[in-house]
Parts: sequence; C-alpha cells; structure tokens
Amino acid sequence: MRTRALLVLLPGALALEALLRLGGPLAHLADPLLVVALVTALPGRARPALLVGLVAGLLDDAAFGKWFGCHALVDMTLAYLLALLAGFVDLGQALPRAIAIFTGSLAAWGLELGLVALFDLPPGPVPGLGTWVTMAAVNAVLGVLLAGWAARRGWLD
Amino acid sequence: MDERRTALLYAVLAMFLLAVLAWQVPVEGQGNALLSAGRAVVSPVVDGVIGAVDLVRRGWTGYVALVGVRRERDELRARLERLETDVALCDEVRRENDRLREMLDLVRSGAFERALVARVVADLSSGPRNRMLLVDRGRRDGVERGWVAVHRGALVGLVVRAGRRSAEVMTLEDPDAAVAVRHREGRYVGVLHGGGRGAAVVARLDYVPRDRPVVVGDTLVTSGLDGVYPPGLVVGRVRALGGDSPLTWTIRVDLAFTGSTLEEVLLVPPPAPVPRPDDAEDGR
Repeated sequence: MRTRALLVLLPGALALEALLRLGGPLAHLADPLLVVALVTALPGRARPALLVGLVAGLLDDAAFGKWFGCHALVDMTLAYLLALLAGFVDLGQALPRAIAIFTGSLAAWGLELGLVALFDLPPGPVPGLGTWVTMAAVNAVLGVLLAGWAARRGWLD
Repeated sequence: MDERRTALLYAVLAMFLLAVLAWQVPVEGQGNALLSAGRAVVSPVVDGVIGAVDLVRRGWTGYVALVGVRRERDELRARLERLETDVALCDEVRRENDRLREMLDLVRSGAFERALVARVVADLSSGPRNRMLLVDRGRRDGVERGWVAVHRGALVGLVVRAGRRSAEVMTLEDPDAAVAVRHREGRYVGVLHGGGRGAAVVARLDYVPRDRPVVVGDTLVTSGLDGVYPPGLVVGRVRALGGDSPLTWTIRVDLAFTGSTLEEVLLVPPPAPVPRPDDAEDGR
C-alpha cells in the first residue's frame, strides 16, 4: 500500500477506534488499526506489511494500550505472517480476504492471551472469546470493504 | 535474500518489543520481567563461572595442601628416624647404666675392695681352645696378672696378662682354665675345668662321688680353696651328669656367662694369700 494512503488510513483508523472506545460497549466491536495492517499485507509484500503492522500497533499502544508494545508485537506479527501467506495463497477475492482477516483477528486474540500468560499479566485488558469473534467478523467485513476500496484506487499495488 | 533480511528484521523487532513489554512488567523482588529474565539467562552462566573458579581454587588449595602434607610427611619421617635412633641409643645407654649400676652396687656392698669396672674392647678368642677377652684396664689402673674378672656376681675369668692400658682375661671357657668350686647346697668341692672341647663351650667337673647329692640345675660357686678366685662367685649350673666310672660323676656345667655377650666386667684383685704356718713363724 502506498505511503500516501497509509498517511490517510492510519490516522483514520485511529480516529475510528477512538470513536468506538468512546461508545463504551462498542470498544471491542472492531480493531481498525489491525484491519489496516492486515489489508496492507494482502498484496504479499512482507516488509511493508511488517512496518505498517508495527506502526499501527504502536499507535494503538500509545493511544489506548496499557502495556506499550503489546499491540505493536501482535499487529506486526500478524501482518508479517499474512504477507507470507499471501505469497502462497491467492487473496485477490473477497472471500479469501474475509477469511484471512477474520482468522488474523482471532489470532490476534490468541497472541494477546499468550502475551498475558507469558508475562503473567491480569487478563482484564483482553476481552472474551465471544467479543473477539464478533470483533473478528466485523474486522473481516471492514477489511474486505477497505481492500476493495483501496484496490479500486490502486493503493494495493 | 530480501526475505531473509525481512525475517531478521521481524525477529529483531519482535525481540525488542518483547523486551519493552518485559521492562514494563513488574516482578516482585526483582525489578521487572526483563531483569528477571536477564538474571534467569545470565545466572546459570555466572553460577557456572563461579563454580568453575571455585573448583579451580579448591583444586589449587588442595594441591598446595597436598604438597604441604607431603613435605610435612617427609619431615616427620626423617624426625621419626632420628627419634628411633635416639630411642635405640637411649635404650642401649639405659641397659649399660643398669649393668654398671649393678657392678657399682656390688663394689659398694663391700664384697670387693679396689674393684674396677673394665670395658671389654676385644674378643681375642682364636677358637674353642683359646678364649680370651681384652679389657681396657691395665697396670696404669692397678690391674695386675691374677686379677679376677666378674660379671653380675658370676666368675668370668682371670687376668693372665696385664699391659699398661689393657689386660687379657682368660675366661672359664678356655680349656686351660680351672677353678675350685663348691656345690652350693651340698657344700662338697671339686675342680671345674674350662670348656672348649669341640664346638660346645661346656665346662666339666670331674670325679664327683656318685653318692653326693647333685641334680641338673644345681648351682656351683667358687670355693676359694685354690687361692686364686674369691669364694662365693657363681660359676655355673649343672647341665648333665655322666661319666664311665661307676664311682664318680663327670658333671657337665653351663657357665654363668657367655664371653661373646660381655660388654663390661668387674676386675677385682685376687684374694690375699693366707700366710702359712712357716711364714707366720718367720714373721714372728
């Protein structure tokens, strides 16, 4: 994804997440920054995906995170792995994209739980599985829409 | 190549983020998780290094101690040898002291006047027929021919030649020696001749009537009747009774001393001659 597009999408995602968190129960409805990172990985270029995931996670940590670096590590890892996967699987259609983003969102939940267990953190900041599945589904929808929109503008080249 | 660099970049960033996370997580008593993890990684290495250093140090200390122990052992061994030598010398001196004390007591008891202790310096024996000892007292000390050699109350022999600083003692083992003896219990007398017949050094007492009480083990002492030896000195013990004559015994006698074992003897002057009646009349 082009840098100019990222300069628009990342602040936009940050703003959207801020809005969601203002909404109380809607705080975990979606993870727009993770969606941007995963959509960036869809073309299959690992390094840009890795860096965008890192930046998106750092923004998330800086704005909303309790443990700085937690979302950065998760988003960077998932974006990098999805980019690697895109080298082997055709993610050019909506359904594969949706599945990839949905799975990536669930994997983010698993990774966060893993970090909580690794550092023996209180599980409070990590939402439950049901909330996360909902968020993964919403992320998948957002991701498919964003990927289609970005593709039409040529930002996914 | 680019994929590898990206993977390496990912690994570095992931490690960095994990470290950042660990830095933020407090661990009770250990600062934070990063320090705790660092300690967990480093402490085995440090423990290993400390253990190795301690092992080397203990090994070196043990080696040094072993060297010290070995040196101390050698010193103690040498000291033990010196002490054993000293003990042997002390034992020898003690035995000599006992012998000399015994002789000195004999002199102090008044049994002998003008007695001298002489050291046996040589065995001049040339065979069973010649039994001589050389002692370190001579005319300079007043010793003359005819002095009697005694050892622990037992008769040894007679000075047959006196030099200036030494004297030759013919022992009773010599076949030429003869001494008037008395059976201690039976009080009968006889003449004992020196040994030297063959290899056995055994004296003999001839012509003892068979009706005289005598058994093996009886003691013979000097009678003094020969005018050469003072009376009462132990000569020996009856070893065996024999002889071809149906009337008399030939008694074999074990002498009370063994010439080869003598180290000191007591030299006593011969008994004073008893004046004969003719001499007394001459003196009158």
